[in-house]
Amino acid sequence: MTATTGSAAVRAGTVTDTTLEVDNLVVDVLTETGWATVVDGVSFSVRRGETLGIVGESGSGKSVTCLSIAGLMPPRQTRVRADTLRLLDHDLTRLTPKQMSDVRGPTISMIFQEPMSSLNPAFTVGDQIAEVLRRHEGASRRESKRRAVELLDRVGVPSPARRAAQYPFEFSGGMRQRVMIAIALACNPDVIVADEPTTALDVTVQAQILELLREVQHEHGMSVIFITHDLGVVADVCDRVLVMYAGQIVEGAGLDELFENPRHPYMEGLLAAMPRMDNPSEALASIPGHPPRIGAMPDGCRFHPRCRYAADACVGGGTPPLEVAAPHHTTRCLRHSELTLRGNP
Amino acid sequence: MTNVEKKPKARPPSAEVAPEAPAASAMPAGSPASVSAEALAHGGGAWADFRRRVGGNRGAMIALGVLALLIVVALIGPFITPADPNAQNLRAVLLDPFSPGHLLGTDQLGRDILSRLIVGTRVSLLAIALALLVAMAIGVPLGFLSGFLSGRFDQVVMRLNDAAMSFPPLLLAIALVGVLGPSLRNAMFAVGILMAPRFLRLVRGVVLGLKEETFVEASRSIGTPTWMVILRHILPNTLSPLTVAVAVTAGYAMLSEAGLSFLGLGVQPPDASWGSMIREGFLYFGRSPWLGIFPGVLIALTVFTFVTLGDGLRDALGREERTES
Amino acid sequence: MLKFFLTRVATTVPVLLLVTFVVFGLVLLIPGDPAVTIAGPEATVEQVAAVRERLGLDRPMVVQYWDWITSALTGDLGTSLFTSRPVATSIGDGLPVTLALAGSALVISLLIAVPTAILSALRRGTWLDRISSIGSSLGIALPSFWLGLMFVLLFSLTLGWLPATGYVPIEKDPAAWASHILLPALTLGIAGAAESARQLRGSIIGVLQQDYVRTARAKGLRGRMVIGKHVMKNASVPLVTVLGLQITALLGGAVLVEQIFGVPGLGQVALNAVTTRDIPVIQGIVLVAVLVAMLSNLLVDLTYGYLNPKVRPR
Repeated sequence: MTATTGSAAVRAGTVTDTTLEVDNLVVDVLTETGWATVVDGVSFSVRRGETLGIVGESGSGKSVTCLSIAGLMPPRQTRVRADTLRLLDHDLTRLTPKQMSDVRGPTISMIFQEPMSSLNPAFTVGDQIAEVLRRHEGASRRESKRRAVELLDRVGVPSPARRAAQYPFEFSGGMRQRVMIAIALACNPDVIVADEPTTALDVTVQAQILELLREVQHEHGMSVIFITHDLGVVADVCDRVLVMYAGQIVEGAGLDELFENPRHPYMEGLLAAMPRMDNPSEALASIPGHPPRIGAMPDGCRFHPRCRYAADACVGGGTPPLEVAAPHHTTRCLRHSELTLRGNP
Repeated sequence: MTNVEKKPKARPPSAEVAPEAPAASAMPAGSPASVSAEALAHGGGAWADFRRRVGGNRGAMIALGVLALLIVVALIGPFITPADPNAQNLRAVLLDPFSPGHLLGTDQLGRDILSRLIVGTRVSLLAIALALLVAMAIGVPLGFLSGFLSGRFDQVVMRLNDAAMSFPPLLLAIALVGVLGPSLRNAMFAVGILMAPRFLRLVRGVVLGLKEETFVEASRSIGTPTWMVILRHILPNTLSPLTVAVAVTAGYAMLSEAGLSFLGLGVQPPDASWGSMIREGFLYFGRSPWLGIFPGVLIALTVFTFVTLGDGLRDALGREERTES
Repeated sequence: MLKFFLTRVATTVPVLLLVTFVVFGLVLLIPGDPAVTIAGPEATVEQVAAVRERLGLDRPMVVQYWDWITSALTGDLGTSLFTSRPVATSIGDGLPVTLALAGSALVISLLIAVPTAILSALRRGTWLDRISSIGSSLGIALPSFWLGLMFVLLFSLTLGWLPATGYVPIEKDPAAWASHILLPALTLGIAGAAESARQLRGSIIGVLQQDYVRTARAKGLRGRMVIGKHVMKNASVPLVTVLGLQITALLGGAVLVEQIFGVPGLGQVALNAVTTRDIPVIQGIVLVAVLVAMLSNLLVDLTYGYLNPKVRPR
């Protein structure tokens, strides 16, 4: 498997600056019909201060990838394997669940999609922030409470002292997401995984939350992995982007390079489905067909049944390798050198 | 997110409880068999559908088999007893099981235990049936009207229901029997009254839920007369949850009958029910424990059957949406 | 919180009033002439007349009810027809014993149910889960009085570890009290334990799938903290509902258990009264039992406010 080529290129010269390194991550989950591979040989790395976008449709494996790295998949129904899972100097493949829980919070933390259900309805917002500090920094009850209020203030929750004593149901969706960000920030992590943090929010609130995320990243210099299916959000916040399809990375490049010169027909399709900056009135194209079902992957290129450029070579013969198409630009398309794909600059 | 990214499930959840807290001031949902109304909201009764769903549930099918066996024994019991269940033989008292002529031994009066157990089956099952009948005769119509009419009527009925539920069940049954005089009929009548709130709450809940359903509203809006709406849409939809509730309640009725008979407030001698047999064997327990063990095992088996049947029916009939396939 | 409490109390009052009607109305259910029935078949005309007068049966119904309810409010529940003791005194003797029994049973049932439910919810689908689920179905199916007899047979008669019958007040000898109350409380508590375990297992499984549990793990909280704090507080809400019903049921079930273990509680008093048709005693006991049940349900409901902040009016 040559899947590491891309990240190797990225890694060259920047090894010391890498906060997270993933090599050949494979995740199987138990379904009604048995074990099925939902993440298949994913490799990437994230540099300090960088925002890495992971894009893909629902079910492409982008969330499972990140949940697996953080050890948050249900253990008895999931098998996670990887050649390398390195978070700073922690070898995550060797950590016990207990050690893993020491890492979550101070080193890697998460922001989830559903601000409505991700906070515990039975505890005050302040307590849910403070308990992270008590757990990881041994803060006293009083000290942790004081810092929880500070954190609420930092993420832009008005009258934080009063709000800290309230329960999640008394908060709006956007405010709850701010609380989630406060929880994620509490121990100054090196990596934050934001799993569709704005999908469930109104557009204006979305913009505010993205702005907040950008601010905190700027302040603390942490790495952010931003999972989303919304290319507009990607264009807004990411430095570099990985495109996932059917459990694999199919393309990876810097933001501008990817949008201008997509090297995989799937990415071209995603871009075509997005309103163009230069010609907003143009009809939007959608990719025909549906992503393959788990456990029923097409042989050959997994995208070929939906690909308008599919040739005989694309059908059968195993999944094509991830190849370097241009500097810092990898693609899993066999025909990338013959095709000229249309971007959305 | 798709189900792939959600936590994958190894098996379909069998008996999950809605995690959301029940309404604030609402009294506890009385019946353990409260099946969500919307899960059952579908038009038309479907006996075949019922059979397909229940037939696929192993627990329910085994329980149904055991229940059928008990009913057969209850029906033909008096004709197949190896001996006269009330015939005393003071020269052969407290015989051990496997004694010649007495497979399960004899009691303190030399009566054949097996025969008494067989006859007791009919008494016990009839007692359950009576209690269920009384409970449903009170609970179902009241619950129905309460849900359908709402308003003042509903409020009064619900207060009555709350009152009935605040009595410790067995204690009220004992009091009623104490007043009416000890007999199995009185005891089961009392038990039936105590069980009525389960049905009342259940039916009321289903009807209230259905009233809001689109298909009922649609049917009403095109001018279907009320009685037609009730007959076509509401009644059939109460059947599934009622079936579950009957199974579960039957188990409780059995236990209540046994308890009252054990206290001497149910079946009167020389008749036997399983509960009264334990009462009679009580004093000889140290010497002949099987006097109590056999009827106790039968009671437990019967209640276990009803509980399993209720669980199986709930799994088969409740929760998941029906998909027409 | 106070407002929540007062509203609950306010809704209880009409229910309590209905209950007093029912309890009082018990007399009316007596077939034929109540005075004749109560006095017994061998009673002389004078005796019947005496009973009628003592019970006030010769006066209008409303007056009878009014007298009964007003004296009940002052703690006077009448006198027994047979022992001539004040009913309140008999109840006062038995009630603490029954409360101790029911309370211990509740504690024991929770001590069994909570760990069982947590374990089987976390190990869902394993043999452990299956055994505990069969166990809880059995716990519901086994008649408590029969179970009690089996316990006596095993622990008292065969092994001789615990006394079979009798009762020692806790203030006299706590150790003896504990050894006497253990078997009855266990007997009485098992059905409740089984029911609670089933309920709690289901709600824990439901809560485990909530997003906020994943958040709690993502914060790096230890498993113990995730389960003990974040899961249990939410999963307890349906359990509290069941507990309310169970407390009521425990007071009834105590009658059977007291009978088996010879515990001199309210149940014994009730049974004696029932066999002699001692109506004032029956009425008094039922009324007191309902009051106790309502009070404990009120207390149980208060924990709702703690468990579910949405209920708490601010």
